[in-house]
Amino acid sequence: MMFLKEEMKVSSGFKDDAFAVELCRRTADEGGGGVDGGGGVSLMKGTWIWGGWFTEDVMCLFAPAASVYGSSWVYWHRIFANTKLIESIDYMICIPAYGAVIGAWFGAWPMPLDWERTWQEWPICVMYGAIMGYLVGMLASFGFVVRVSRQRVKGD
Amino acid sequence: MKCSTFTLLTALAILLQITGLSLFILGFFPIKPALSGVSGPESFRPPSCASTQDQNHTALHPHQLKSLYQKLSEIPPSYDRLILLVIDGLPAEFVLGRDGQPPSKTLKDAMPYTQSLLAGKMALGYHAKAAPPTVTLPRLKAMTSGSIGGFLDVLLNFNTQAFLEDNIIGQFFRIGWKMVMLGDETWLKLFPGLFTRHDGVSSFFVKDTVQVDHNVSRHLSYELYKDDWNLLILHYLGLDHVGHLGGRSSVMMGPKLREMDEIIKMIHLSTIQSHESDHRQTLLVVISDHGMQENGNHGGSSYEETDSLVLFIGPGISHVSPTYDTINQVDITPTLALLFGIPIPINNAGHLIADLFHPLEDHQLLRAMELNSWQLLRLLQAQATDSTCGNLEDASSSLYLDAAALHGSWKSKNVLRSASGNDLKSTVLAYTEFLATASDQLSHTATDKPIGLLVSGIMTMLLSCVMFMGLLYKMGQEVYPNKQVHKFQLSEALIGGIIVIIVLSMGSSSLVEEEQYLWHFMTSTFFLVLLHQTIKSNTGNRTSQLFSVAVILISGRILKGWHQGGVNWTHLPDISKSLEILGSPYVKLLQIISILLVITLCLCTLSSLLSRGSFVILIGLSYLCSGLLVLHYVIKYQGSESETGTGTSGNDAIVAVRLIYGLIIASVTVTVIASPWFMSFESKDLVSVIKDSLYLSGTAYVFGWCLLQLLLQQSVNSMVISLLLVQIVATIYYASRSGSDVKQWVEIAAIYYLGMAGHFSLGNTNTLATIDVAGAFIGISSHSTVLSGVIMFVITYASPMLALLSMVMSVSVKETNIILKNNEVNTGQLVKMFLGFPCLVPLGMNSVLLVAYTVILLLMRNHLFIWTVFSPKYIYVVVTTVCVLVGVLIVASTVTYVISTAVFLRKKKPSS
Repeated sequence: MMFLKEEMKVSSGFKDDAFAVELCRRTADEGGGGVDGGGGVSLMKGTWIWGGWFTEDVMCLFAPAASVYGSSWVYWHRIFANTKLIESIDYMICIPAYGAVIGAWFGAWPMPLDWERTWQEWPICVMYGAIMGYLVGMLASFGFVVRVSRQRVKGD
Repeated sequence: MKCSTFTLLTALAILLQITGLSLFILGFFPIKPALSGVSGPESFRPPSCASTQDQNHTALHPHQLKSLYQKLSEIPPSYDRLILLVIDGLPAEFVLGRDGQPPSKTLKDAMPYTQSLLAGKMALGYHAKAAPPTVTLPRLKAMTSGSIGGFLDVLLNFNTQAFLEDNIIGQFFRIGWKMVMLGDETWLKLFPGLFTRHDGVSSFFVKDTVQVDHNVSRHLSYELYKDDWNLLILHYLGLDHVGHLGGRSSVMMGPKLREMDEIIKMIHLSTIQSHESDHRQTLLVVISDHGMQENGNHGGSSYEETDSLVLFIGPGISHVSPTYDTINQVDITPTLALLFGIPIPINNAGHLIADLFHPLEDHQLLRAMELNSWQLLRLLQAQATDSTCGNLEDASSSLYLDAAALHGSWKSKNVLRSASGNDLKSTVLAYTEFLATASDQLSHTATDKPIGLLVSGIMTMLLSCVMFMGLLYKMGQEVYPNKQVHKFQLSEALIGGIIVIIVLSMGSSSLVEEEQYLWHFMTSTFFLVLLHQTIKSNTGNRTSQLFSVAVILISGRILKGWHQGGVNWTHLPDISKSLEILGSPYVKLLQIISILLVITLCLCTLSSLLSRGSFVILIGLSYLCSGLLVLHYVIKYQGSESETGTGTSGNDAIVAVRLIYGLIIASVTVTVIASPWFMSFESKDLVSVIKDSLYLSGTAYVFGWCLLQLLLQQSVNSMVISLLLVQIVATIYYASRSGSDVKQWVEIAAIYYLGMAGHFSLGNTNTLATIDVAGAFIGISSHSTVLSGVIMFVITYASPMLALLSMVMSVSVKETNIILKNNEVNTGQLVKMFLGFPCLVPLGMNSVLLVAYTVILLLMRNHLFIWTVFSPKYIYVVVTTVCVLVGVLIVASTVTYVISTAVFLRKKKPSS
């Protein structure tokens, strides 16, 4: 019994995590569904992180898409659910957004590791991941845009 | 491929898996060969082949036995009384320093009296190397019995009841010693009934560093004043708790060390006093069971954790060498046994500490070594596989013969008084060499791993895994024969991806510790992808599907937050902790809500079959009845221990629980057996008969299981059970609505993943600590290892088992395009269609995980965390395999039974 009890004793450490919440939030934004990881908010320490995170989130995903597509459900459905990209502006907006989502997904990976680095704290590494993904997406979208415009030139 | 071929190959693969697993376990966790029984007077005679044990000594009175031992041992006991002061978790470094360097000044200042004893050469200190796992229970066993337990010992003696192996406490008891124990109650559990007086403290409240020790010290002056005891055990837990709270350099460490020092001082002064007054010699032994890491944790095999302390303080002890030697913790056992003139415990692997015997005369020292050698030799002989009686053809036996020959010549010379110092020295050296070699050899049998066994085990498991994969591939080809290239679906790729990710993550100890994050992350990813896919598709009933995925995701989020789980972040707030803070009324309310939810869900699922006649109503009533009984039990008995004193252990409660067990088991059995018969009356169509019967059986399994869990699980977990049920039912509903969009294997894999994620939502982790031992005794009045083991398994594997049992329900609602020609019924084909994926997918996935983890365990065998992280996880993987096998067996036999009965009845019908 001692063995069991002692294993229960807890080590020290201050870390937060909200692994799946993060993903829920992220992809829910994407998929247009209504799942929000509200439970994660209670885990927040320091609203500035939350604020910064939210700003970044909006900057990457929502702002460009919303400013272009507005409230048209048809567009949102075509772009984010069916991933049918036609125009070059679709590429410019969506590829970075996809990149941000995928980056955030991978960014959550180091969080449970016991490296004891400050950046492992929620949501820092997820933000880094999202930003990295966003940047990669931007580069990729540039390539796509070039290709689409070449095709258009050929078509013309 | 025919159904019979499939079945045979699957059975073969399962057999191979079991064989390989057994081989590997036998190789990796060797069960050390131990001798049964206890050492008696025969241990004072040289080991001989003819095992003529004279049993008449058992009839002797303790005092007669004591004098018999004294006469046989030829060594007068050096001491009359023994005080064993156990300071839990004290690293030897704190007192003796490290690598020949004295401890730091602050540590020295914290224990002034102890340091003065050491400096005054009145105490003999050693670094005692503890064997992993460095936690209290196995260490206490090692120190009292001298044997190094294997890892499986921890598991086999799960209920940590009485310690049955031969040990010095039992030997002391047999010679009529009076013993007093104060401190950690582990001692009381190990040695029940042996102590004249005792006051056990629980080590459970880790945050308490003061009261645990005060509860020991408050008796101390009384016990030191009383002199009716021969052995006084004091086990202080406070220092270990300080370590767990703040690590080695905690601010509380200094005062705690000072407190311990005061206790040593008090005991020592009182023993000197008693020596002066009545010439009773008291030996004070200060020991620690294990050390601690920098952060205060322990359990593994690092130097910091295994470095424990032994300090002998008593008259006649003088320290000779300025450096402190390293001994093994098990060496304490033979040393104490020989000092007090009792037989060395039969399975002891330690060798005596010669320094302590130097005050004795030469022939007595040699006699002590001889006795120790005989005991070790007996054990070695017992372990030699071809026990050709004493003919150990290895190095250790020749060493023994050398030593015995030297001893013999010394004896004959001694009689003639011509023995020189050199003769003595060489004899002692020869004995020491033998003892060290034998002790080493015996300790290694507990740790050596036969590589051939391990590799063959892994190869066999790998073969079975390949077979499962091949069968799955074949099955896929037969079910989805369309030649055209399938459209890529992210959800299908993800099913494979999740397995790969889980396998890769198993190599990292922190991801093993925090595995729950992975499963929650993966399942939520999968269902988000499914959500995306649902939004994308334009077919089917999209709203209800969207709704069910949303329900799964929201429940998943709540489930994730229910228990923080893992190892490193367990202290963070979670729902179960908040509920416990809120108090039992809220917990009970949630419990009642979840029971009602389960009953409602059960009746709703059954209601779709209402048109099928009164049988369904009967079944519904029986579930309602058992549900209400569970409700009654929860309201009346659970959580009321403190108020009414009846609680869950009263007689009424046990009867009530047994009634519920009986009712649930009876109604499930009756439903499963009777459903095809009743359904055949109601309907003509074979497929619908089969489907309805399976639906009924599946419902019976799922809800019977859930009700059982609501009864057995901790009260905070009842909501988790109902949420898991909701998730699984929603998944089945989603898949039944999506037609061919979601393939059957994807659905089954998804249910399996939900089951695995749910396993962690119930608060399970990959350490053995979270197993609910208390729950294993619900409804059992007498102690039964088998029954409580079964209940423990049922509680721990609630979620994976629920997922597996729900397969019966899932196959019954899946759209199947089986078109039956009127009289051509191929039972085999039907069984294959229904059972192929539900059996092969869980088996295949589990076998991949099993093989991968086995390989990882082998690669990690020298890892620091092998005993604390990887081995417990492996135990879980193995039991999960058992769970999958049992679940698949139940599913397969049910489906086969239902189909064959339905076909049989149909064939009978036209003729009658």
